[in-house]
This record gives sequence, structure tokens and C-alpha cells, in this order.
Amino acid sequence: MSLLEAEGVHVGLPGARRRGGPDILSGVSLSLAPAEALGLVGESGSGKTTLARALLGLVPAQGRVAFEGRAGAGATAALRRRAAILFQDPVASLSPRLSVGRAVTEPFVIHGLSVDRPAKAAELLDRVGLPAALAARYPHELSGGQARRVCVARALALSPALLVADEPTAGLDVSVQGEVLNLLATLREEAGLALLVISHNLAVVRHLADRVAVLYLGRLVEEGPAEAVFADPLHPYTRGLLASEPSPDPRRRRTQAPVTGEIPSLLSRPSGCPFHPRCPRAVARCRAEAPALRPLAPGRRAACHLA
Amino acid sequence: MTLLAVERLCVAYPGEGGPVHALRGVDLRVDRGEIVGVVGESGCGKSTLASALLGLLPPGATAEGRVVLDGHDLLALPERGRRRLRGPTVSLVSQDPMGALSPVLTVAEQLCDFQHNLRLSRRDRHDRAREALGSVGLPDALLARFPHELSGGQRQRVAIAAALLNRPALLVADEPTTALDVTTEAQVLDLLGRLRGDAGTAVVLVTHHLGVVGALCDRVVVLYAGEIVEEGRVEEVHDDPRHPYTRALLACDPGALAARARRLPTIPGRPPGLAAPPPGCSFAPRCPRALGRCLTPPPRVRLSPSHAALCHRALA
Repeated sequence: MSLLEAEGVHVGLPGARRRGGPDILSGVSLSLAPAEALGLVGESGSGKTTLARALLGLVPAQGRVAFEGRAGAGATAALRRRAAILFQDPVASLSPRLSVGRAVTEPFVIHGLSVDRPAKAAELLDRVGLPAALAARYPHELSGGQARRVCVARALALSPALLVADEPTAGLDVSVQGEVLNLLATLREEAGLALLVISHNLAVVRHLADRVAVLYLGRLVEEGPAEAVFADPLHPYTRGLLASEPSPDPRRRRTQAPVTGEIPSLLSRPSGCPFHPRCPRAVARCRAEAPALRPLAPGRRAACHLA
Repeated sequence: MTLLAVERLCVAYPGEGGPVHALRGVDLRVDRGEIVGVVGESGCGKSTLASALLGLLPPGATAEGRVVLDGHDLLALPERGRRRLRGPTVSLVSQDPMGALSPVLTVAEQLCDFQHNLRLSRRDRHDRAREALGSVGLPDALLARFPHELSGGQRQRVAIAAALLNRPALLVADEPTTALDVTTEAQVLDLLGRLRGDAGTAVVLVTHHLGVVGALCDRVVVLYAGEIVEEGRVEEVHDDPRHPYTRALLACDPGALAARARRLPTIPGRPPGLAAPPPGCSFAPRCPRALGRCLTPPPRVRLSPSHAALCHRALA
């Protein structure tokens, strides 16, 4: 049974009420099994963060989202209690006026659960590898890596079944990136936590995720097992993203950027396949007809006429 | 031909418990048209070095040694003289282009302003602004736009166009692609690489991402706790890193691991506090290979004419 199941998720632009008008996301269907890690990749403006927020009920969306077998209002109530999110900017997502100890135990207060707050804070901090003494500190006294861990501790407070991590390593040194990723991997193994990891760093997703979903301009363009997608991407956009990653090995230097141009504005969505203006392989059909996301191999789907 | 020679540069900032030694005897040479990467973790002195190259160390900082740029010693020069070098001799592209651009002026106005010291007519300045925009691959239509109307990649290109208007001999790029998507990053790296061919501009590129170094640089220097712990041609350092810190940095890069890893390598611990740096090798407390003699200052071991490492065990 899947933990989270989304079908035809649609998020309109704020103000654009009617369907068929400009949208941020449309027709996105995804599922996530318990303890599974799904990576969400794509450029800025592809709709990754909006999709995560729509799944958690944090932005108004149409479509069907079921969580632990319940849909509608039941799903929303369950999500509040059983799903947690790590926002992109850890310092901005901690109140500057709450000490670390109060911040990590606030979820209990919000849900009306009585706990021994200092003891619980020490336990949560310990789980993310921080000393209990940190409970007395305030967010401005933390390093980037510490603030990130405090957010993880807070997210773990109610023992969630799902953790959404929005760019969990942004702004961290490579040496600290590994620590945060290893912590997430450990939590998944120990607590059976399902992960939805949003990142534009493909290497991060490659090491953390079982499956990957690639978004482009609010459409799912490819989805499949991480290893298969990274080894043999089916969609030209996925291929371009992977080829764009710079390699530390100077002999693998490119002479030309693999993907030209930039992601278009939501207000001027290209006809047909949204990627066709930047696609090196686009043909007439790509300009006229939007490709459907179709199964191409076991567990793999892609939205490309030529795949 | 040497464009920049940094010699035994030491920079200290006043701190609560005495001076904080951000740079401790840095030597660096950059030839005309050369692209040199400076890598290291936060707090290793990368940004202090970038500021020193621009003659922009904050008030209160004390500097010793020499920073000779195009024949001028920046540390000995009065501020007036340093200001004359900024633009025609050295320019900056920073991580956050929004901070370099005025929010209330159009792209055209700013690109014209950057030429204030060139004694050109209004018309010529405008023509050069358009040309500069074209050279970074942006359409003329953007001239009339304000920075907030541009994407992150477009803004960074405008900042690069602005930095190049005065045809500087040296461009200091401080994390120029950190805020960009991989696709745009690849495009900006391409652009920086082409500058050398087109204008003979040398680039000092500060980054914490070794992928960026591999994709663009000729040489790399690795900074740790205010010292250059390894330097060499990018191939040498990538293929045969001799300092344990360089090895650890390369190993930590999730992009460098060929197979999917369950656990990523990390570098335990943190760089030492620079108010009281350790007496011996500054990396010894975190080094998996540290020996007793690592508590004494390590020698700079020359491994090839271009490759050197600051380590007792560089040859082991």
C-alpha cells in the first residue's frame, strides 16, 4: 500500500481561477511507499517546491491526494500530524525568538500533547547528533549545518511517516552536506521514514533516492528508479540536466553547455511539449502536440514523443 | 606573464580574544589569461583573499606581505590609487548579482554608469552596453529592464557584462554559479571560459565546488585555515592529490562518486579557530593520517614544477 498517492494534482496561478488558464502544475500523479525515498528534480521554476507544498496541503490545489489510505479532509488531518517538512532556508524557518529547545518541542504544544519539554528536546537533539546544551541557544547562534539539524530534530518530534526535505543541502559545505545526507539516510533506515527530497543537485538525489521524478515547467516529464534514470535517462531534459553537472575531472570538460536557454515563464508556456524550444531533438510534432507521460519500461515513465 | 603576485600575505581581523588570522602567509601567482580556482570550506579565508585582490579589505583588518597587481602593490597604495585600478585592472563578480545591481536603474543605465571613467560620449557608452550584453548572450530587449524582471542566470550575466565593460586584466569571481541551476551554471562557466580567448582576461574563481574547478580552471589552490595547503594544475591535483584535505574534499563531493553510495564520506570536525591556530599542521586534528611530527609546522613539498603540498607526508 502506498503511503502517499497523488492523482492529477493541479495548482493554478494565484488569481487564475478557471481551469485551462495559466497553471504552475498540472496533471501530476505520483505515489510514495512507506520508507521509500523519492527525489524531485528540475530547474528553479519547474514547480518542485509547489508540488511538495500541494501534496502537504500547504497551497490550494485540485486533484486527489490520499495519505495513509485517507483522502480529502481526512488526509489533511493525517498529514498535519504524520508528515513534516524541512523548508529550504533553515534559519528563516526557525523563529528568532524561540530557543532551540522550545522550537524542537513546539509541535507537541501545537498538537496538545503534554511532554517533558527539556527531556524531549535533549532526546531529539541527540537523534540528530547535536549536544543537549544547544537547547538553550537561539537560531542566530547556530552554524548553517546546526540550524539544518535543528530543523530535522523539530521535524522528527511527532515521529512522522513522511519527511519532505526541500533542498536539504543548499548552502552547506561539501564536508557538511554528507553529514546531513547520511543523517537522513539513517533516519529512514531506523525509523522507516519515507522521504520526498527536492533538490536541483542531482548528485544528492542520486545517493539518497530510490526513485526520481523530473519536473519541467509544472509537468512530470520522467519518472523511474533512480539508478535506471541516472544510467539511461529517457527524456532529453533529464539527459541535459545530467550532462550539465560539472565534473571535478578536467578531462571530462565540455566545450559547450548541454542545455541552451532558460526555463520559460509560466505565462508563456510553449505549445506542444513544453521543452521543445530548448530540445536538441525537437521535431514538428513536438511543437504541435503535448506528449503524454507513458510507461516505457518496467517502473519507468517519460513524456516524450521520441523516447 | 605574471599579472598578479601575492607574496606572504597575512590578513588578520580584530576579534574578541585577540586577532583572528584569516590568511597566514599566502603566495599566489596568476598569469595573464589564466584561470585559477581557489577552493576550501567556509571560514578558510577564500573571501578574505578575494577582498585582498580587490584592495577591499574591511576597515580594521591588518595586512602584511605584498599583493602586486599589474605592477601596483595594493597594500602600499593609498585608497585613491586602488580605486583607479578597480574597473580597468580588476573587477568582481559576486555570488549574489542582486547585490551588485541597483534595483532602481535599468540594465542600460547601470551598464552606462559602469563606464563613467572612460571619457566616452553617451551614445558610445550605450553602444558598448549593448555590445557587452550581446557578448554574454543576452538580447538587446533586456536593456530596458530592471534587475527584478530578470532571472537569476540573466542577472549573473548582466553582472559579468558589467565587470567586463572596462576590459579588466583580472576578474575575481566569488562563487559566481552557486545560486544558479546546473543548466545555467554550465552556460555561465562556458561564458567565463570564453573570456580568456576573447579578451585575455585572467580569472580568480573562488568556489567550494570542485566540479566548477574541473570544468573551468587551469590551476587550483586549496585553502585551509588561511594557508594554501596544495596547489597545482587541475589535472595534477585531481589525479594525484597529495594533501589529505584535498583528498577528503574530492572524496566528499557527491558528484565524484561513480556508484550510488549508502553513506557519503564526510570530513569529521571543523576547521580550527583562527584566533589561535594550531602550532603544527592546521589539518592535523582532522587528519586520518596524522602522526606525531604533524604537531610541528609541515614543509611545503614540491612535487612537480607546478604542484606542491604543505604536508609532512606529501611523499608518503
